[in-house]
Amino acid sequence: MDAQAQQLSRRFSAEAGYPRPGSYRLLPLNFMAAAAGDTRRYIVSNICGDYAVVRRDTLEALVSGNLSSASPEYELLRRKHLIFDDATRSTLNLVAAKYRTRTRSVANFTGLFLFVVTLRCNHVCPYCQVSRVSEDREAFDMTEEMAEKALDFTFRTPSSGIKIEFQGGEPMLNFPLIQFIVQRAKAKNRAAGKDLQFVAATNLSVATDQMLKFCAEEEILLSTSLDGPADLHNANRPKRGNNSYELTIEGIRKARKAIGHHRVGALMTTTEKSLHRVRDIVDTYVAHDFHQIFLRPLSPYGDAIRTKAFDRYTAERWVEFYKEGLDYILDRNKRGYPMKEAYASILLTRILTNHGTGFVNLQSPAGIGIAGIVFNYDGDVYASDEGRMAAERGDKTFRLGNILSNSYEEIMLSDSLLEPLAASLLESAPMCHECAFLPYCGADPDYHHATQGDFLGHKAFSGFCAKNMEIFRHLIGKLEAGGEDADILRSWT
Amino acid sequence: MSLRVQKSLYRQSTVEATLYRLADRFSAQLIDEDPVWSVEIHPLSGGPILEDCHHLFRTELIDQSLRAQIVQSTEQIKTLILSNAFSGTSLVPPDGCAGTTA
Repeated sequence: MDAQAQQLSRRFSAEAGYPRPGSYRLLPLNFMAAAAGDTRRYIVSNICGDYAVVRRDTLEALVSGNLSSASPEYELLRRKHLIFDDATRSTLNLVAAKYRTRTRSVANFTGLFLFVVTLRCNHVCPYCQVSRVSEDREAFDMTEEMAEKALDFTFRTPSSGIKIEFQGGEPMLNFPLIQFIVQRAKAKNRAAGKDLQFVAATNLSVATDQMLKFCAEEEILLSTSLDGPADLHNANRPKRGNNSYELTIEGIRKARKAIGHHRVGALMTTTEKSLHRVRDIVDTYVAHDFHQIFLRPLSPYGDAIRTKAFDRYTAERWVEFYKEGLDYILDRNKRGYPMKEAYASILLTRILTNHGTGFVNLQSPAGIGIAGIVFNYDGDVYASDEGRMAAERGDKTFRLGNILSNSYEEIMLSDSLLEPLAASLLESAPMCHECAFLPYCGADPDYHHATQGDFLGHKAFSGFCAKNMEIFRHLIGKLEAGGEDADILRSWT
Repeated sequence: MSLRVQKSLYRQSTVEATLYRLADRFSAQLIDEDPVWSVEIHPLSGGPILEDCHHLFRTELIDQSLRAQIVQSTEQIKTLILSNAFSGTSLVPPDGCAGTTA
């Protein structure tokens, strides 16, 4: 060996001492730009939702098999189960186990049963997602016979948990039927032994002390609507007397006293009037001691379509509203008031854990029918709440049958359910199957049917996709940035 | 002006996936002019100008090509993982055949 070669051999190890590029294997993975239109950084995820954010050159080296095992990204990608090598072959079993855990909700089957006990309501909200009628029309109440049949149907579910949600109209206007359903469900459950829960979605304006006493005794959770400060809430939710806000706040106070502070929740809906008021809305929730808020966009169903409320802002404008709200909520947390944003909490749970969230609109296969199902006031059975809302406007695509005339098998195996389920599966859908957010997202055949006349929908034109993609990116961006925001977000899972 | 894409480098499905993903930006016609794919791009009203459409197409085409490579190299592993994930569940009968006999 000449002098120069000897000198080099002291500086470098023999070739065998270096890892060979390409000695790893890719696990099934997808990637998306970390920010829309940005070609520098990419989010890479595997089929069970583990993700890493890498530079473009790392992504290209990764896919072409040229990523050096000496690079810092190699260990990150191996740890995140995006690649495996001879030392980590057990990764395959681990990924399989995680995938099985993430998809177990499919085997659990239907767990949420919505009983529309009446369509009557004392409010005339323009964004209401069902047609409302005056308070005195008994023709819009569910009967005991229908409720009994619906309960027989409910207890056919293989799910170990059953949540019965009372919906309307204003369900408290048919309170005797709520009492009937609760008592009959509990009687049936003595044999079934399910984890049985009840929740009523009510504006609280007609809830009496006797009603609240019953809710307390029977452990019925209450969920109400609170759209923000008085002027905004009353504008969004008009009623005779223009005092919806005052009645809601008084109802919340009474309900908390009767059934317990944390057994009363609230939901808001974003109208065009809300878009510049997100801080006021959050402040209203803080002022009334709520520690969770759900920043919800308008949905393209029911009267939101008729009154054109749905078209009054774009997906991009709603995302702007959402981001401002999320930042403000994080700020309130940093100032000592613990508060979660519910949608972020659901998405973060899907991003950071293997637990299912049970959120019907973020499932694949879609949650319609097989995660939640609706018994309408007239005995009709719908695959989803959105489906029955569309039916009130004349579109009965998601009507599965009638509880009085159809069997469990006829309803659950109806083409009206199986066709949208099969057509909207994300894992085989164009764009979705290659999306890095696939493990966190869901099919929403109701939304795409309502907006595009198609169960699957072209995702390049989908507001559902645009909103979710941007929120996924925003949350992952905040997690990657670290610091106090990331710590708070992680605590929401 | 048409863009020309070498057929030896990009499969038809890759070019189609690119056009599908960008359908909200421009419409396009794909023509087989062996040995190239000719892609005629028509900007949508209010959308990006032609030059930007071409840039979007070229960028997305490379991404779609990477995705096709990933699918190709992970297809068998994906099948293995899914088989493993659902083994021992009632979804897969003991003889391993798909479907149920109930």
